[in-house]
Amino acid sequence: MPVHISEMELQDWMDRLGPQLLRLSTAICHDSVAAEDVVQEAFIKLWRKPPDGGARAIPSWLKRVVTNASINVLQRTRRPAKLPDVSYDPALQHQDRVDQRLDLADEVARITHAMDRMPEDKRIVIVLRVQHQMSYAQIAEAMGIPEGTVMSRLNRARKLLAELVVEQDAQSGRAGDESLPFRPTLGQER
Amino acid sequence: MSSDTDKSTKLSCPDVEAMLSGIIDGELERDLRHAAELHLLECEACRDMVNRAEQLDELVTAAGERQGPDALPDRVRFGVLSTIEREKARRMRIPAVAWSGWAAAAALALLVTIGSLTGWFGGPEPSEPGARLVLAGSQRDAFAGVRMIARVLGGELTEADFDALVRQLAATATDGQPNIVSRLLGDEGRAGLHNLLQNENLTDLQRQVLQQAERLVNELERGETPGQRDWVQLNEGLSRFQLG
Ligand SMILES: [Zn+2]
Repeated sequence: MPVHISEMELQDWMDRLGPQLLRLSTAICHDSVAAEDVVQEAFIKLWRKPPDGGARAIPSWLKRVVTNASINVLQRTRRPAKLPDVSYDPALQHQDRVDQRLDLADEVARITHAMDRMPEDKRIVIVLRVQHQMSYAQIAEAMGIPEGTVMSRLNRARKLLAELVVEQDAQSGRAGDESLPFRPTLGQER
Repeated sequence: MSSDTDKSTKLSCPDVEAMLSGIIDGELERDLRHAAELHLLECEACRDMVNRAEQLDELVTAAGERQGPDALPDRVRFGVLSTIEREKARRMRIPAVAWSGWAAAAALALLVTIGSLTGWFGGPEPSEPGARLVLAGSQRDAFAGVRMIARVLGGELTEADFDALVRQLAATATDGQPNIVSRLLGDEGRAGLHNLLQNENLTDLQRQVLQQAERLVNELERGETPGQRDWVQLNEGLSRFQLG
């Protein structure tokens, strides 16, 4: 007998993972309507043929299915690339640090804006890892890349994100490099 | 943590920077992680770098939590359930029941299921039942009703029939019209329910439940309010049909 999922169980999975999967898909493809379709199809797929490994295998299986489908949506509807010119200005380092306490909403808006400016492959790897806690193995599988390249991809993505935030802050007159995790110039010991 | 790694290579700051993501994501192999931890103990600049990256991650996490809905929209849930229901109906090889009877029975199941799921029986201020049922109905509840009665009858539906029924249920569940019985059953549906009762293949239990359903529908149509116990009985009767 093949593994089978009852409708009751399916309802439970939809309750438990539906919202999260919808956020995952929306974050990747930037299209809430398409994301709903992606998530709907994923649950139908789950009912038709659940993954081997029983209930424990289901969450990561669903994430992978949703990620794949969302990336496909993105590729079909490819929005114009708007990779900004990111050149880090070392002068920023010497700007006076203004002690501004930002509330969380402000911080979040800042990050969201910066993420929106990232190229898709870098943005997605951050979404998968940081927002959806996928392991490197899962990310590799979902994105169809070798597992060994996930770390370096994430490194570049995090670096770019930090740079974009700094750049935005500079443009909006908010000083400081406090959210920059990497030193501006790679490989320079001090 | 064991420390049998005396011969582990010393890492430089650029080494650590190159594996920053592996460090904060906990994805380094044991030896490397150990070497990185040793470096971090001694190097304030790298510790600082790791802290900042983790702070950035926290903001990215917060940003992720703020976007998107808290619940799966009914549209998605309903799309999933109606698709699998159609596929199941296609797989079923059970003698078909006449459509009109099926529709009538499904409508009844809707009444009963919504009644039981929305706290109608024990809810505050019971008012005119028909109206309460209609206003409280969601697509999910409506669908549960359809599913339940499908199990009861083991009937086979065409896709078009199914879609029409589902649209009807969904519209009635949300348009605030109080005359759910007449809208859903109509004369045809009533006749269908009656015909279904004449079906010789019904089990005693099916016949009993359908008779009770017909009685309740008649009362509703006459503008009477069936007793709560009647509904509970019908609900229990239907739930006894539920298969695993
Ligand atoms: Zn260092």
